[in-house]
This record gives sequence, C-alpha cells and structure tokens, in this order.
Amino acid sequence: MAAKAVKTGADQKKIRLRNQIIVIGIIVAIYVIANFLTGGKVFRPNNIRTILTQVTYPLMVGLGLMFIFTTGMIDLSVGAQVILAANVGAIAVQIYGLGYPGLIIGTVVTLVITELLCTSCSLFLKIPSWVAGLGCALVFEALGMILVGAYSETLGTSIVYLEKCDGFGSFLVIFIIAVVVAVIAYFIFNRTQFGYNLRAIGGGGEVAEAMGINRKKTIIMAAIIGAVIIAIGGITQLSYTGRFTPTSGMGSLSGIFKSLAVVLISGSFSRIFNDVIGCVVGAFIVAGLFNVLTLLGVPSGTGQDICLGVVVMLCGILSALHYKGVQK
Amino acid sequence: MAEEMLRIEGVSKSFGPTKANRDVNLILNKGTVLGLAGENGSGKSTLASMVCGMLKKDSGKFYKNGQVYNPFSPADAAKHGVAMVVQELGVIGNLSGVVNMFLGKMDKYKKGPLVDLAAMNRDAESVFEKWGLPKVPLDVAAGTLSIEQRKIMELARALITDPDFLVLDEISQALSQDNREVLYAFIKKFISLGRTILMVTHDLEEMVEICDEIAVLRDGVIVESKAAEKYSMNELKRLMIGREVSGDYYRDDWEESYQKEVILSVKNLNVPGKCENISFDLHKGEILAICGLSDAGIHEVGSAIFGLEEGRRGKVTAGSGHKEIQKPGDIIKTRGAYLSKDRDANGLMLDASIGDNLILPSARDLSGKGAFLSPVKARKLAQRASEAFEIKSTGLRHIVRRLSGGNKQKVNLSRWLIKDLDYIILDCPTRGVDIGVKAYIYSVLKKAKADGLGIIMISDELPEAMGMSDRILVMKNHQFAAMLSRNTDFTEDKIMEVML
Amino acid sequence: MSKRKINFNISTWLPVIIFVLVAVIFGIATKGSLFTSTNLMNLFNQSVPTIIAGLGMLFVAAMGSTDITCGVIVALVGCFGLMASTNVNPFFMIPVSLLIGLASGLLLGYINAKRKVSSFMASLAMLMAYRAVVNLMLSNTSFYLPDSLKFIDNFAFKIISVIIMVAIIVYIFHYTRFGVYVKDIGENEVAVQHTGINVDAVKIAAFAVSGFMAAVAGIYMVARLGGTNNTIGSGFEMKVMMALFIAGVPVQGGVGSKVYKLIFGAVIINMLENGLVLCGTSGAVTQLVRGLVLLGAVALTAYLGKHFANVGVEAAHNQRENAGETAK
Repeated sequence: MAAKAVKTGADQKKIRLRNQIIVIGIIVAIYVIANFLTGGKVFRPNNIRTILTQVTYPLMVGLGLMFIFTTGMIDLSVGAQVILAANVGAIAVQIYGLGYPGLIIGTVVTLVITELLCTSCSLFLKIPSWVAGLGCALVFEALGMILVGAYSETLGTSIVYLEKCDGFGSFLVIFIIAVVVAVIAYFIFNRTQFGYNLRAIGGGGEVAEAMGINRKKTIIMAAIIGAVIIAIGGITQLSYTGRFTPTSGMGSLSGIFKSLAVVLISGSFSRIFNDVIGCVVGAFIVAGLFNVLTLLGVPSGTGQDICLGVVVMLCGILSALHYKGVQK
Repeated sequence: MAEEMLRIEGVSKSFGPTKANRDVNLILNKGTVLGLAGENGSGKSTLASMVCGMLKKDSGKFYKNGQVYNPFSPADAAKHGVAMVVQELGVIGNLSGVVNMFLGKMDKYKKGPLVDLAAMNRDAESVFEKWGLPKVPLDVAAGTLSIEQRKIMELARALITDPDFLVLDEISQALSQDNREVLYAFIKKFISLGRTILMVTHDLEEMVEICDEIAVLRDGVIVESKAAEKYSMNELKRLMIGREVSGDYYRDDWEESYQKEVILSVKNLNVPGKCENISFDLHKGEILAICGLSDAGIHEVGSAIFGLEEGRRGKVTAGSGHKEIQKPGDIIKTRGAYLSKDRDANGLMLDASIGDNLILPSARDLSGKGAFLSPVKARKLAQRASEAFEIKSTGLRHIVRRLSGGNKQKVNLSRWLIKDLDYIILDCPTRGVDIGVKAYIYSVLKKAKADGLGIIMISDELPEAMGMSDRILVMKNHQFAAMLSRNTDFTEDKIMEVML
Repeated sequence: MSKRKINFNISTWLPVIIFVLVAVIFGIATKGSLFTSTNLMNLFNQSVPTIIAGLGMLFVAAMGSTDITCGVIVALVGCFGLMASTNVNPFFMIPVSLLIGLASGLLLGYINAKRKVSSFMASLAMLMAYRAVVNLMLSNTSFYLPDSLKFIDNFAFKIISVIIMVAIIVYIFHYTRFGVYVKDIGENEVAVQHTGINVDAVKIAAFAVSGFMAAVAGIYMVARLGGTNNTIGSGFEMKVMMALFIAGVPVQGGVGSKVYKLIFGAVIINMLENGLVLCGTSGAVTQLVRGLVLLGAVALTAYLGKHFANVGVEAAHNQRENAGETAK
C-alpha cells in the first residue's frame, strides 16, 4: 500500500507536468498560427516588445487581485483605487515636486489605505464583498474626480500628466519590474508562512481557524500585499502612458477587466498550474489575444471589448466546471 | 497504581434542548488507551471535541497532569500536549501534505522571510519514521490523496507537536487491514512511552482488543466504565443500545400490518461508493425503517431515491401507474416527499417566518386560477398546520431560526403531512429533538400510518426503528444485509448480528 | 412581552422613514424648490425608468443574485430598437426591444443556473460586451425616436402604464407561486430544491423577467430622450440597485424583498440626486454621496435584520441555543 501511495504521488506530478507542457504548447501554437494569420506581424521584434509591455499591467494587477480574491473578497473597486492612487502619486510629483519618493509613497500608501477601507467594509460591517466593492468604487471614483478637479486649475489641464519622473515607463524597466513582482509574489504565495495561511483560509476557513490561523489578520495582510502589488502596477502604467484619466459611473471597472480575465484564467488552470504561474500564463493569453485583435484591425473599445467580455465569461464557465454548490 | 493523565470531572454540554453530555466523570491514566463506546448521538464525539478544544463545555472541569486544563481552541490544546485526529478537522485540499501538517505551527521554520520547506519535509519524514507510519506523498495537494492517505497524514500532523495525549476519532474505519496493523503497532509504541490515547470507534472488536479500558456512553451519560477484558461483546452491545424499548410512545402491537398495495418500489438502486443493489417495496400504511451503522449508506439511499445523488442507477417507481422517479420533482408529482437529515441546511428557511416555511411545499396546490396564490388560503393552510401540530410560537410570523429544535422539526414535518401524500421518506425525523417532541412525532406517524401513508424511516436509533416500524431493512457496508419483520425478528440481538 | 410588540419590525418602516428624512433634508437644503411642480414632474420622469427596471431586478435580487446588465440593455434597446423602427416600421421598436431584453435575461439565467457562474461576474462580462456592441453601432450614426412613438413620453400614458405594470408585478411577486419560489430561493436554495421544485427553471425565469423589464425601462428612457446615444443607460444599473438596497431589500434576498420598498427606494434615490443637483453639487460629489449612501444603507439593513427583527426574550434565548447546535 505504502509503495503504491508513493507511486501515485509521482504519477500525479508526471500528469501535471504533461498538462503544463500541453497548455504552454497550445498557447505557443496559437501565437504561431496568429503570426501566420497576420502575415508574420506577431513575431516582429517591435511587436514582441509591445506584447511584453502589454503583459505587465494586467499581470501585476491580476496578481494583486489574486491575493485579495483568495481570501474570498471579490473586490472590484480596485480599478477606481488605482486611478485615485496613481493621480495622488502624479500630483505629488508634478505639483509638490516630491520626485520618485513622492510618486512611489503617494501611490502605494493611497492604494493600501483604500483597499483596507474596502476590506473593512466587508469584514466588519458585514456587507457582501461585491456590494462593498461597488460602493467603494463609486466613492473612490468620485474622490479621484474631485482630487484631479481641484488641481486642474493649477495645471491648466483637465488631467494630471506625469511629465517628470517617468523612468519606470521604458520597456525594459517595466518588464524587469513585472518579472521581479511576479517572482516575489510567487515566493510570498508559495513559500512564506503568510502565503500558506492565506491559501488555507481560501481552501477551508474553518479548518484553518481551528489550526490556529487568525482569519481577520490574514485577510488584512492579503489586502495590504495585494494593494502594494497593484500599486506597483499602477506606477508603471502611469509612467508608461503618462496619465490615469478619472472616470465616473463605474467606468473604472473596465480598466481592470483584463486583470479580472487573468485571475479567472488562473483559477480555471488551478489543477494544472500554480496560481501565480497561472496568472502569468493568463496574462500572456490576454495580452496575445488583444495584440492579435489589434493587428487584425479590430478597433479597441468596441470589438476588443466584446471579445474580452466573451473571454471573461468563458473563463468563468471553465473555472466553475466542477463546481456543485449553490451559486448566487 | 497508575499515574493519572487526564481527569474529566462533572462535564456537561447541551445543544438547545439536547443534552449531549451530562455530568461525565472519567479518569485516563498514563500509558493506557481508553475507548469511548456508544451509538450515534450518544455524545462520545462531543466529549472528544471538548477535550480537543473544538467545543466549549457548559460546566465541569478537565485536569491534565493535575493542572486545570481549559482549551479554547485546538491550537491551544496542542500547547498543552493534546493532539487529535477528528472528522471535523480535515485537511485543506489545495495545500500540499507537508504544509497541511505544519499549518499554524510554522513559526520555528522561518528562514528569513521564507519558510524552510526542506526542514519541514525533514521533520515530517522523521515523524513518519519515528512512529513507523506508512509513507504518504507529502508534496502533492492533499485533496488528491486517498482518504486512507489523508487519515495517515492527519495522524502524522497530530504527532508533530509530540503530544502526550492523543484523541483518535474513527480513524481505523478509513484504513485497510495492513495499515490497521500499523496503527495498532503505533498505539502500542505510543502508550509504552507513558502517554495516553482516547479512542472513539464503531468497531467493537477492535475496541476490546486495543483498549485497556472502555467507557460506554448512552444519551450523554457514562453507563459503565471498566477494564476492557471485563466486557463480553454482548454486554458491550447491550450497554450501548440498551435504552429500554418501553416508552409508551412507541407502537404497542408486535405484528407487521400494512395493506397489499405497493406505493414505492425500488429496484437495484446503485450509487457509486454510497449504496449498492438496494431493492425493496414500500406498501400502503407501512413504516419501513432503514438501519445500519453510521457509514453503512442508509442516508444516501434516501437522497438517491429522491434523485439527488449523482450517478444513480436502478429503477424507482411510485404509485399504481409505476411512474418512474428520476429527479426531485417526480417525487412531488407522485404525491411523495423526502425530508433530509440535515433539517437546517436542506429543509427549512431559517430566516423566514413559520408561515413562509409552512406554505412552500403546498404553493403548487394552493395556486388557483391565473396562478393566483391566495394569501387568505395560504394563511389558513399555515394556521391549520401550525395548530394541528401544536407548534409553539408567537404566531405565524415568528422567525424559524428562533424556534427550538423540536419546534423546527414540527414545522418541517407538518408542512408535508398536512398535504395529502401517499408516501414520505423521513431521514432521522427525531434527530436533535427533546423527548416530548419525539413522542409527539411518533404519535403523528402512527396516525399517518393508520390513514394509509407509506413511510420510509431512515434511522440511526435502533430502539426507534424497532418501536415504530413494520419491517427493518438493515444495511451493512453500503449493501443490503437483511430485511427483518416485526412479527419475529425484532430483537436487539438479531438486528445487531446483521448490523455489525 | 406582548404579542404585538414582538411582531413590530423596523425594517418594514425603514423605507418610509428614509423617504421622510431625505424629503425633509433636501426640502430645507433646496429651500423648497425640491417641491415645485416642475421639479416634482422631473422627479416623476426620472423615477419611472428606475421603478420599471427595479420591478424586474427585484426578482433577481430576491434570489440573492445580481443582474447589472439593465443599464446596458437600455442602451441596446436604444440602439437596435430605434434601428428597427427607422429601417422597418416605427412600431417594430417595441417587440425588438422586448425580445432583446428577454434573450439577454435568458442567457444570463442559463449561465448562472446551469453553468454555475456567479451572476455578478456573468452580468459584468455581459455588461462589458454589450456596451462595446453599442459603441460599435453608434460610433458614427445616431437614431431618433419616430414621431408615432412620442406618445410613450406622454404623462397620462406613462402614469397609467406604470400603475398597470406595478400592479402586474405586485401580483406576480406577491401572489403567485413563482414569486414565492423566487423569494424562498433567496432564503435557502437547497431547501427549495428539496421540495421538488425545479430551481434552475425558476432562476432562469427570474433573470428573464429582469431582462424584459430592463428593456421596458429602456423604451421609456429612449422616448424621454427622443433618441439615443452611446452613453445612455450608463450607471443606470447602480441607480436601480441602490433603489432596491436603500429601502431595505436585503442584499442576500429572501422574503424581506417587497415591491413597495423598491418604489420608495426609486423615489428616494432620484430625490437624493435631484436634490443634490438643485443644491448645486458637482457630478463627482453626487457620485460620492451615492457610494456612501449605498454602503450605509446595506450596512444598516444588515444590522437591523440581525438585531431588531422580531426580538423577544424567549426567541433570543432559542436563537442562542440554536447557534450552539449549528456549531456542532
């Protein structure tokens, strides 16, 4: 019996590895086919650079969301939080001349505070997390508009542009930051005590609590770590595009839709890939899809968003394939 | 004179009206194994859970090594050298075995910001080696392990803190014969170091063999506690079940009595891993009990007939038209009903009013022209049900969550019995209700039987089954074991013989 | 303890209390201009679509599910309904619109009930894709309401049709078994399944009603606007959701869902926004208030539901005991 047990363990690993190779093979094959369809445009050096850049933001926000979602908090105010926090960072640079420290501290601190507020709403006021997320999204969007509105006269523009301190915006830096973030996230999620506690809470809250894990503390920690990762993503995106336009009426949601797709893809691959690796794979799928759509001439904002909606839906269906419980 | 390890003094615990433990006194000595014997619901798991810190006791005291021991959580119990393998504390499926083993105990494995996985693996290995446990793959997600492997892993997890007191709740059931031998060898080794084990098991032969001392619990009270070799197997069984089958609330006749007409016919019912080849007929005016040990598959038969179990094979037909039952809706269409064992999760809407709960099953019958569901008719029906079953409340708007267990069960039963049914499947209808409501439910069932209702009563209380039913279908290891008749076969010995 | 006192339930009166509170506050803040006949007319016109869409969303909310597609269904109605009426026959707008709403609701219901994707996620993905479709269609064209359909915006027609619709929905929601099942699913889906009811079918039907009513609301909104643009209906879903939650329809659904609460809620939320506009607050501040009100209302409903509903001494005692039993 014992000998047999060991063998099944090894077998499982073999099957998993085989599946991993198959999935990555399929993705590579799709890239190759897409390259063929677009007449070789996909693999041009310039375009590869574009893809690698486009991977970074959804990946980083997706990783942050993953930490938050693992606790069971479905918080969609993150889009509004990024906009607010990035504008705080930009204002710190442009108006108060605080340079890089202002940019980083402003963005990170703001995002941590907003995320903690949203988590607290759901953790202590007993509001279902998705409602708390919607309510907070309205509030943070409004704060973003008010903030930018207040400084727009000084600036003479209706949006805050980051003109100084945009060193994080070059391709190489963004890409390195994203890789570093993904590696650190991997280690936090898979190799630290906090990571184990977090996954235990996500996998079975009551058992985890009985084993002596503090649920509330773990959730708050996850919110902080998630917020920091998202903030880093926000800073690079701000440096790359130069601005974060405040939105109203839940427009901020569409800003994190790609990241949401990344998390859902990671969820549906959870039997094959580690969650963090799943996010990386998901980010390449999403970025690749939109890159190809752009190359094929599908306009962004319309045709691409339709595809994104369909992709999110399919990912949702895939990740719920073996789910048997009650789904509200 | 052996040295004392744990003393349990006057411990009581109740859940609502049910007294799970009443004034329990026990002494566990160092270097011994104490077995807790008792039927389902006798309170042995409750007692074990309190020792482990998973439940809080209402009154009484624990002393460990002479010190007052009052654990508030399993983690706290571990600090006092108490560890456990219990059903409530399973594994977390998405984490690897080694992480599961060290969950909540990782502080000493910190290596910088990370956790020293290699050291954890080493220590885990050494636990397996030290106690001679069979190897389990620890690097794959625990959810992919077999139940047997998981149990062994849980045992290893309990041993990591190097406890001197171990609670084992139904551990051997999941193990194959050769691993049981390994477990027994482990137990010997463990107690030879002057440590103590509290063991809960349904396997009485195993219990007599392994344990030094056995305490028998019945209805939350210790009825006997002495050295294991002083028990005969029969005595042990009798002590466990020996609730007097007096109680004038059961039936007073001793004859099978039902009409010829078959109301529900089950043929070769199969659910993979849950029940195999179950066939029987239910007649008009019959109470058919289904009995077996807790893992025999009796509850699954009920939900399988209703059509809730996946992968069901076989044929279930109802009524004179032999209409086939495949999904839950079919039962209702053939004027039947199924009441799950888990009343709160599967039966009642706890945060809705009594009235809302009473109306739900009858909503279809109450709708008239234009799908109009008259609130007057609905209230009348609810009123009728509430009055007929003497539900004690402040009115139909009383929230069900705030009723006692017995009254909840009355709500659950009455809303079905008020309908004009042909047959009903009741899974543990008297679970968690006090003796008064129990007697009341029996009287209601007797009346329903007289009116020609066919009743399947799935029960884990043998006295109840013997007291109420015409026939008892006994199951063992998910299979049909015997069909006993009220005329001749209703003696404890006979039933126990086929059950164990 | 008298029987009467035990049965007093504060959440029954919550909508009225909030209504009076908001009316008084803004009555004073706007120095009475909230109650001028022109403004009351405005309030009526604004409330009608909220009420109509809310009547449908109530069915979904009562199950504890979510449908945030109603705003974008309004946009789809504007787009395809008017396209049909311009190109085929003016009156084609109505059947085309209703079909769109119904089909969208059925699809969402199928994905939630059969494919077990959370209704919030699924409707979010649909919202995204539909909005993109609208943007695609209306990028360089616009449609106007044909004169023969102007009657829809007529006051008399509007008020009569709304009263009829409310009456029908009250009938379905409170006096048919479909309505009972929908609310009972919100209380305990498994229990409803155990009474042999086809829960999936009920769920799909509820989503269909929601989509259908959103389309009806869309017709009125398009008629009011006299045409359509690609921002019509954005943010509408939040407004409808708040109309439900602000007046104490519980987020988790159940028998506490009532039509009268929705109607009060719809008027309250429109009065709130109308009042803020009259006070001269900016769009951002209005949104901020909306977000805070949403969070506050949901937290309050959750708190009241837990602490004040039908409390009696004996009842509280039983509740404590049962808590122990459940813990077991």
